[in-house]
Amino acid sequence: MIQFESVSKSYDGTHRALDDVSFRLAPGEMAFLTGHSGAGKSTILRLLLGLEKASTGVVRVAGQDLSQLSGETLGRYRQRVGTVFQDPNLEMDLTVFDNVALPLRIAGFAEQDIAKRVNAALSRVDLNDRAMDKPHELSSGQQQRVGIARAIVHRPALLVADEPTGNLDPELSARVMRMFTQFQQLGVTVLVATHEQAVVESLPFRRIVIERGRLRADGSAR
Amino acid sequence: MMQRWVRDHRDAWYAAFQRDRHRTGQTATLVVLLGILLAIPGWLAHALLSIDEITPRATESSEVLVFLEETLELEDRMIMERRLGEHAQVTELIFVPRAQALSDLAKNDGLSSIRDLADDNPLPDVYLLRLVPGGASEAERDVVAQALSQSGVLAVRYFPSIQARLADVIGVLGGVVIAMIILTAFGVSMAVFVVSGAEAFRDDRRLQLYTLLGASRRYIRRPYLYRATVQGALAGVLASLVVWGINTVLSQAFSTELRSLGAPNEALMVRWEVWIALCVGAIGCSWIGAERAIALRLNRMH
Repeated sequence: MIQFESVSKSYDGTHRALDDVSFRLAPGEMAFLTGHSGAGKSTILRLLLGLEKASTGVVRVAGQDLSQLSGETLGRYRQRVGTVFQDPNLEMDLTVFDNVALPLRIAGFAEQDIAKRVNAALSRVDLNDRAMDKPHELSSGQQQRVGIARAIVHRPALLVADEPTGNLDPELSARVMRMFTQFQQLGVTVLVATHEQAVVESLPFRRIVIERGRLRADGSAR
Repeated sequence: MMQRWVRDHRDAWYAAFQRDRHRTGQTATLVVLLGILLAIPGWLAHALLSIDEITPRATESSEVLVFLEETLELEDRMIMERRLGEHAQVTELIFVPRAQALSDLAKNDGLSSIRDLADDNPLPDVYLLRLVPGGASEAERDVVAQALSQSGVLAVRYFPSIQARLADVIGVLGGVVIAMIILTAFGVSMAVFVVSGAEAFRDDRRLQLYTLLGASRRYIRRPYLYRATVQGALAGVLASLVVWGINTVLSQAFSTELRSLGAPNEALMVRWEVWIALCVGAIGCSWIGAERAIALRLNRMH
């Protein structure tokens, strides 16, 4: 599903954020991308989301070289990827329903389809009864769940999460991680970037460890 | 397809107004600023069109006095008279001998004692040229140039009609109006560019979110452009009202002068061309400013 082949990324020609990183993630696999702050995790995610291009090497998703995408094709690619952030980044003027519906509206789904999919996504994160609320009426844990519902509403084949439990207490973190596990069981490829060791060690998934822009370890949980 | 188009645009309008709801003060300030800015070339354009309307109604002719040298022979004077009389702009050519000029001066200006100078008359012979009413000022100046080029001419005096003087004003004002339109269009675009740029900076997270969700640039920009369109339309209407207000005040203040020029009522009303140009110009400049600001922000993000 995901393929990094000798990928390097440097800024201004000098600072190397990534140095010769290679790894693969099979369809339906879940993995943690770990490392300290500034190790290069976010750069990998930005490359994976097509926000940046690799200086050297190739990034492929579902066989597609991301450096070849631009404009409309890049937009269509991103419409097939689910993204969860540390801060759910919700639109405060919109209801929970409309926030979750956003990716579907952007992708041009029909209204009946949107209603069905949004209700299904909200059921998955147990927020069906809050559909008409505004985000500021929800707790931070509920807001994060809205963000997750928005990431899965269009049934992406790839789910990318950047520090998804950073703002949550341990109990909520565990709940969010259980959700990701469920998505993986449904066949979604999940890549979670986190520096929280407790979260990583609580689940038996593969760990890709990045240190100073280089791949330090890549393997299964101990 | 059609349904999606309608929904996308409806959502963009909704987003535009939702964002405006939180920034009413900023929007109102910008609209007032742009309205006043646009009123300047708007009023100048109205003044230009009004003068243009008034000008053809003046019936007075310009006049040129050609003073002749004392030594000029009759034969040479005849040649000069023929040449000047052949000019297309000249409708009437009158020779005023120096003795008659002295006599007229004594009679018309009440200077009876000047008759004593008859034996030593200081006045020169003169040709009085009356020019075609409504002639272009450039053509009239050509007559003056031709008169000056004749040998035996002492001096030439040109008395342009009101019409010719207005034509000069139109020429100058036309240049000023064009310069002001360009400057104002730039100013309005820049003002919207700066405000939209600041707004896009504040909306950085939103722009990133929409980008990550796969929204096209067109989709992301739409609410900002609609907002700019509304702001531009409001600024255009405000500018039109300012032009109308200034025009009403000035028309009343100079009503006597305007009537003496034979100004028709319609010349004093703000024309529909000005109203439309102001609104369309305001929307266009505002749109360009916003479009550039958002495009620049999106380019910087990636």
